[in-house]
Amino acid sequence: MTNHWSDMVHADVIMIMGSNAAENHPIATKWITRAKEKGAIVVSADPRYTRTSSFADVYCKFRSGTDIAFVGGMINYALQNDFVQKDYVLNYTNASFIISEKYGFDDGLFTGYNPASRSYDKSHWAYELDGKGMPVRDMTLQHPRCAFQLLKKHFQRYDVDTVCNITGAPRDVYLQVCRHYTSTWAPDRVGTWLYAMGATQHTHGTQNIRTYAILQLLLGNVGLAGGGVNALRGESNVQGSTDMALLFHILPGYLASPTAADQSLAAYLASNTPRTNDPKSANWWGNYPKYIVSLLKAWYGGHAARENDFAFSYIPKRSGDYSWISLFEAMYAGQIKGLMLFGQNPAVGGPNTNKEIKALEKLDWMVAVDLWETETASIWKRPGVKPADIKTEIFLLPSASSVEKEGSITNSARWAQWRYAAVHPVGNSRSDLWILDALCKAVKKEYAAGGVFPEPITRLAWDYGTGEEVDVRKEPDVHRVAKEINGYFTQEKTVGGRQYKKGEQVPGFALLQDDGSTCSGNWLYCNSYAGPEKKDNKMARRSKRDAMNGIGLYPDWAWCWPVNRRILYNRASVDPTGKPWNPKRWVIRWNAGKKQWEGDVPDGPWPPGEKHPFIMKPDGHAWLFAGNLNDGPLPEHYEPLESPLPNMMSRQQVNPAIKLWHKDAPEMNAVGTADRFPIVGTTYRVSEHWQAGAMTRNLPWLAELVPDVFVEMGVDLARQKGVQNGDRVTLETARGKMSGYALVTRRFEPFRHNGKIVHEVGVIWHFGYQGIVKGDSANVLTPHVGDANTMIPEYKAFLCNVYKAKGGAS
Amino acid sequence: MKALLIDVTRCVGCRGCQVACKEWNELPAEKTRFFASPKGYQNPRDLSSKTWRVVTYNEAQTNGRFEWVFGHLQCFHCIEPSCATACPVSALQKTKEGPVVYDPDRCLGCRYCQLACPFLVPRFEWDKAIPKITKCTMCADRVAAGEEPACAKVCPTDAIVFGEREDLIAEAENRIHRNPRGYVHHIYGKDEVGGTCVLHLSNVPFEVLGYRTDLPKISLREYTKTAMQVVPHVKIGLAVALGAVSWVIQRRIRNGRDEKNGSSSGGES
Amino acid sequence: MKAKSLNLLSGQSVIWFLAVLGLVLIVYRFVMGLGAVTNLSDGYPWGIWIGLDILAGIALAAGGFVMAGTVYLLGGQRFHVMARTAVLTAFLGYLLFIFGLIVDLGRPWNIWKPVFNWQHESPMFEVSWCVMLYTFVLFLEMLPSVFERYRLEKLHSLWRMMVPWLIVFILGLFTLAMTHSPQWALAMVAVLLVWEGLIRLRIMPRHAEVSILLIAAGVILSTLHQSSLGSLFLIVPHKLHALWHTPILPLLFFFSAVMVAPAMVIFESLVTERTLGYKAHLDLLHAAARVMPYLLGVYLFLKLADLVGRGAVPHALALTPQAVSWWMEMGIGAVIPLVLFMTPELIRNRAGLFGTSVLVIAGVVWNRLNVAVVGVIVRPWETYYPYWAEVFITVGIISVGLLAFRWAMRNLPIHVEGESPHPA
Ligand SMILES: Nc1nc2c(c(=O)[nH]1)N[C@H]1C(S)=C(S)[C@@H](COP(=O)(O)OP(=O)(O)OC[C@H]3O[C@@H](n4cnc5c(=O)[nH]c(N)nc54)[C@H](O)[C@@H]3O)O[C@H]1N2
Ligand SMILES: Nc1nc2c(c(=O)[nH]1)N[C@H]1C(S)=C(S)[C@@H](COP(=O)(O)OP(=O)(O)OC[C@H]3O[C@@H](n4cnc5c(=O)[nH]c(N)nc54)[C@H](O)[C@@H]3O)O[C@H]1N2
Ligand code: SF4
Ligand code: SF4
Ligand code: SF4
Ligand code: SF4
Ligand code: SF4
Ligand SMILES: [Mo]
Repeated sequence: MTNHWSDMVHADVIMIMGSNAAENHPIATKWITRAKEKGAIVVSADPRYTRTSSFADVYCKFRSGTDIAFVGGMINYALQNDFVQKDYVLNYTNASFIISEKYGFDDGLFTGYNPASRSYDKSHWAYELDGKGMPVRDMTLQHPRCAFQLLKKHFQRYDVDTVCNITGAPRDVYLQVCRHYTSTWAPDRVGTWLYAMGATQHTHGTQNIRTYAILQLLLGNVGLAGGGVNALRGESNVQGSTDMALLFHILPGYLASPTAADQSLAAYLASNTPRTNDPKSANWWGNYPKYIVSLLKAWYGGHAARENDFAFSYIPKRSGDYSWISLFEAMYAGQIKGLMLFGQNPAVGGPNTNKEIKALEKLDWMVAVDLWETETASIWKRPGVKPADIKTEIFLLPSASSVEKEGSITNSARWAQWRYAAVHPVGNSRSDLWILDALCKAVKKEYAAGGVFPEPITRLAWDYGTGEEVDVRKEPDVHRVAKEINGYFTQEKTVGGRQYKKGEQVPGFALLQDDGSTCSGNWLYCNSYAGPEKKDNKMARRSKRDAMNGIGLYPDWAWCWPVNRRILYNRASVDPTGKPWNPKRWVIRWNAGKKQWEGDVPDGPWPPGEKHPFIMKPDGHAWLFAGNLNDGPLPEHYEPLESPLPNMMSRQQVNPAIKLWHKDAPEMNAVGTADRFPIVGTTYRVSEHWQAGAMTRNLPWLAELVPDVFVEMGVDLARQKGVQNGDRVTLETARGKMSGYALVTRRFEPFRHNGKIVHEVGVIWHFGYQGIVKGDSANVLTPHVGDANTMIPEYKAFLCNVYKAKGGAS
Repeated sequence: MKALLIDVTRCVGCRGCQVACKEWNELPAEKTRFFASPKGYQNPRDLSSKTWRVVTYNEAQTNGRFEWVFGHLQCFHCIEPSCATACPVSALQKTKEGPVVYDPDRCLGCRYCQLACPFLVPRFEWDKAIPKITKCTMCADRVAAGEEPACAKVCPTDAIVFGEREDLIAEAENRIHRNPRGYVHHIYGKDEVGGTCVLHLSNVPFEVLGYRTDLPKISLREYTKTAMQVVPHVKIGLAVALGAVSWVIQRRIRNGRDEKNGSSSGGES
Repeated sequence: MKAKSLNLLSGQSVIWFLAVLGLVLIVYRFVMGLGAVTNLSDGYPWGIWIGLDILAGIALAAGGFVMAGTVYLLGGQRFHVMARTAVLTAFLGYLLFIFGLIVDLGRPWNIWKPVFNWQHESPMFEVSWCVMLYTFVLFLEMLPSVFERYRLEKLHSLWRMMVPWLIVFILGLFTLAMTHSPQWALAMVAVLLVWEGLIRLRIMPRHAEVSILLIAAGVILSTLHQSSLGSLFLIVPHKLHALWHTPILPLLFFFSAVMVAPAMVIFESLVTERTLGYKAHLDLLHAAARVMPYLLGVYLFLKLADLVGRGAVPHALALTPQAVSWWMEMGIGAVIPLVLFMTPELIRNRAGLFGTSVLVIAGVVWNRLNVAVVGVIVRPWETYYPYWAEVFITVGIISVGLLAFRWAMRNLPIHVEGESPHPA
């Protein structure tokens, strides 16, 4: 989230699209209902009417997988009607930047496309540079190749009728949405955009979010209180775990994970450190070397020195894509022998689970570290298999739950909040930290006896206070971990005139060094534990004091990265002279007398106008036109991999930059077509269950509320299929079949596209064959295909058919 | 007098309250199947000895708008509760703090309270050898400890708030006043059966939520009051009347006999 | 009428079997809870046990107070021969009713709690006191038979001495419990003391065999609780169907109980004659039958006037299960017997008398079931039908009653052969 939960109260319009906030982020609704009470308009756009829609002022339906058309139309509406905050767009976005002559767009394809590799040469989309290497700009925004004009031209094609034909949104309601939302172009009106998996789980998920970002920038809603582009994140600590490099392509702090091409630290830095010739650009990522060197120091301590490239050679270099689907495909192909799962349940949650479970069966061993014996941990005894036929050796390590251990959890708002163990772990369970600590010590011992390349392991700096031997009674010191993540000086060092002693905590990431004198496990968290004592742990703060702007930033409640900045890009909340666009709800403002900013922690200390506000971008501007994405600089509508309709925008049916697994690895990757599977299917969650369900289907109170899998379908479709509410129905895709109870409801309506009626059904994916209540996982239906940039699976749109199960009624 | 104000326009149907109620009161889960209501999600179907609070899911077309609104079943903590009027031993009692509380040590298990409650709230433990009447207690134990009821505490949207009844009525009136088009202009529970300590606001007619709208504005106690008040009159009146009548009749009989045969037999020895 | 079907009391083994079965089921009920043997639910907390065993049972036991009152207070001395049977029936009826209540109550070990927790606003409280006290009164009324049987002269005279004071005490206490007002209690005590005083002064009539105050207490208590059983349902205007929910429900309950008393007397006499061989006093039965049309007529008038007065007639004309049940109740229990009782030829023979009385009884039973079960409408999806075990427990309790009745008739000087009331 650029903003934070309680900040939603400041919004004038709240757009909830791609999220079902009421069900999946109930606390968000606290602030939304408060905003409503103050007069805010709430819009819910979702293929079906949800508990979120129930309190929205406007609910607009649209077919799954058509977000880009929907929001593209809103962008067009804003541009055509000039509902644009011009000063903001001109000064803070790259609207005025001239794009290379090589850029072009035709019939769904941008220039630079290579059909063989299904990828783009992104150099076609670069800025035009002047002699000094500075981007050329046209501050009149009239140049036909300036980003603004290209944007306008691109989205002109998304007129209301086209959009409604693609999306199936009712025209009048859609226009109402456009009107409400674009009203926030006024400097003193703010709109916030809340999204989650409804937006991301698509082959064009990243571009979905891009449309939100573009619209928010045009309306001048980023950086302001009550604005922003807000990903309501998922697992309670998923923000923390992505910060700490949950994903394969990053190292902690969103540093790129090195690839095979990065043979030296210098080469790695050359390809990853952005450069700018614009003196007004802060280009924060220019500090890249400091962050990676400090990270390597945290990992290898004394073994990381300038002489050995700070042990850069010890860290793995990837040679491809290790995203979820790729891993499971590799596993299925027999290329992976062992698997460690910490708190994951792919047998329920992974896409195309029929295939993924088969892939798990090909492993030699699997270790599941979990609170429960999950479906994944029990694939060997799942219904319909003989345990003897499964060769995978499976270990289940019982782990302590969040309330049984101390540590931090980072929420969507980037607040790292310290928690304490409330109870002792039950039975023989151990904290994940203990398990990892023991594992690491044991593996180190193995490698001490020799190995092909043992140093990356044997030289790991590893001391969390439990000694050399594995001891069940010794819990690693989580404060040591936290302090290391913050980072400390590894030697005496003078920075900015102040001397720091060896071992002293680094007070903030501006002080991190690229010479090995500092270490930091994650530069973003530098400042979270700024001193040696537990009282210096800012994550443990719980003060309810508000900042002077009185907008509920509560700066002394926990700690927020970066450097406790509560609203990101807040330099964009003021005009170029430092005056807030919206004085009633100001985030920061320049105090000319004191020559300093007041309010939130600003994006850098420089006086107004001295630096461009979007300091994380090399050019200092927010990108309306984004030349770095895999599938194009501007969002373009493509249909999902499986769709009942041809793409009405171009002849490119699906995102041209996605990997087509059904072509590359056809086994168990069938793709369905509309003749057999004419109905759009989607999957989602309910408040009452958590994810793959181990944590809720094992709790009687929650099992009681939603005891069975259900398939939501509209009244018309049910009538057509002869299905009544409460009947058992079978849902089938090209990949699998599942059954559930039919929930026939008026909340799911058919869509009309160019006169053609398309039905959609939805199913919850929380069920599996373990727990107090059991049922089929919806993921037997979903395909192996991912987003062109993030590889997130397309869980939200596929083709299916539904019929009354044999032996029908309940 | 303490009360709860439930504003269904704020309720997002998350059921945190329903689970919190079970958690605080240590009520077991029920065995359920699919959904108890065709409108979806509602489970269990109804209040029971194991379930003192149920969120209901209601689909409606009102004012040309499709609405999905969430109703709430729980004890209303009536100001003059018919359950307490009915109970022969005051096992159910209205406390002056607001909650209507139950004392199993007195209860006979006659279940007259169940019959008497207009909202079908008290539930009996049919499956127990030593059964009790059960219902929402307004978390009287929490309230006594200065806490708010569990359901109000967890509600993310403050759809349930706890406070002094008058304050909540003022607040409710205020909400209607501030947003006259957003509410049905009625505070359910303000006058129903003489007033309750659980008040509801809604944006759809209360029938849509499944609430009874045919209840009198007076306490149901009024319906038995007269019958109960005349008891002593009847008793004394009857004693006097019986005496008088028997005296008159016996005299007549005696006189009749005397006239006939002069003997004095009558009923006397 | 076939002899076989009337041969209820002599179908000994069947009755024993049913009684034992009932008792076994009752044991099961106490182990497993009410849910295991009934179809009762939170929507229908009261079923046939309340409807039949209690509401109808008590109404049918009204013969006791009506006969006692008629004989000792209203000068109907010639019915004296039947009084003891009626009192016995009532006493057994109430014992069984209390037994049934213990089975029905969820927490019967607390059955005595109303003695100390005075919640006088509750009709249930009033009913429980009345029943408690009236059963005690019946017990007192029964005692002389025992004294006679076992020739316990001393105890008998002690009884004679104590009874009036006991009555003054319990009615005084009851008044205090119902009013929480010492004034009211004292007023009650005063009235009774004056009465007893006048009896002692021979100004008011007295009776050698019984205490007039005891009889009066029986009448007062019965009047109160017969009507209070109706009051129980006043509090549910929202649940009880408009055909039955009326402010005069207590009055209707009382009146129908009075009305059913002669019918019960006729029924009992004929049944005991048939099964136990005690000769029925046909002349008296005819006399009882002659009052029936008046009673039925007044009852019908009350019912209809009430219906019209409350504007509830349309409910009777609607095609609902409740309306059908109402018509059956009225037809079988009031209109047809009214016509029949006015047909002299019919009531002159035993079969006619018997059949017509049975109709009246059935009508009152039906009425009580209508009020307690059929007329209670909770929610559309909720219905109540008795579970088989529920039925057999009721049957079992009645069987125990029949066995007890037979024992008492055989062993106590209850039945007085066809002779005129003996002068004392
Ligand atoms: N109670 C509960 N809360 C949770 C979770 C849980 O399992 N249970 N999971 C957590 C996790 S890990 C996550 S990631 C978040 C997810 O939070 P959400 O993204 O809110 O979760 P979903 O229910 O998967 O999907 C949201 C909505 O997307 C809609 N949708 C379907 N297709 C499309 C589409 O094409 N476009 C758009 N815009 N919307 C579409 C669905 O109808 C659904 O209502 O929730 C978190 N919170
Ligand atoms: N069809 C469909 N599939 C989906 C999605 C969808 O929308 N549709 N959403 C996807 C999304 S967004 C997500 S995030 C994934 C989630 O997929 P998973 O992460 O596989 O699902 P969870 O059920 O959250 O698994 C978490 C496990 O961690 C265990 N656990 C809890 N606390 C701890 C702990 O402290 N330590 C350890 N070791 N274990 C712990 C829990 O018991 C649980 O089994 O599913 C994805 N799958
Ligand atoms: S489930 Fe937990 S984390 Fe999610 S909103 Fe509720 S309290 Fe917050
Ligand atoms: S709602 Fe029912 S149980 Fe609750 S106080 Fe009122 S009458 Fe009693
Ligand atoms: S069941 Fe218990 S609480 Fe209810 S009325 Fe009877 S005695 Fe009172
Ligand atoms: S007040 Fe307490 S007992 Fe009543 S519904 Fe709320 S949580 Fe449950
Ligand atoms: S917790 Fe609040 S929002 Fe959730 S269902 Fe209950 S009342 Fe509604
Ligand atoms: Mo997630």
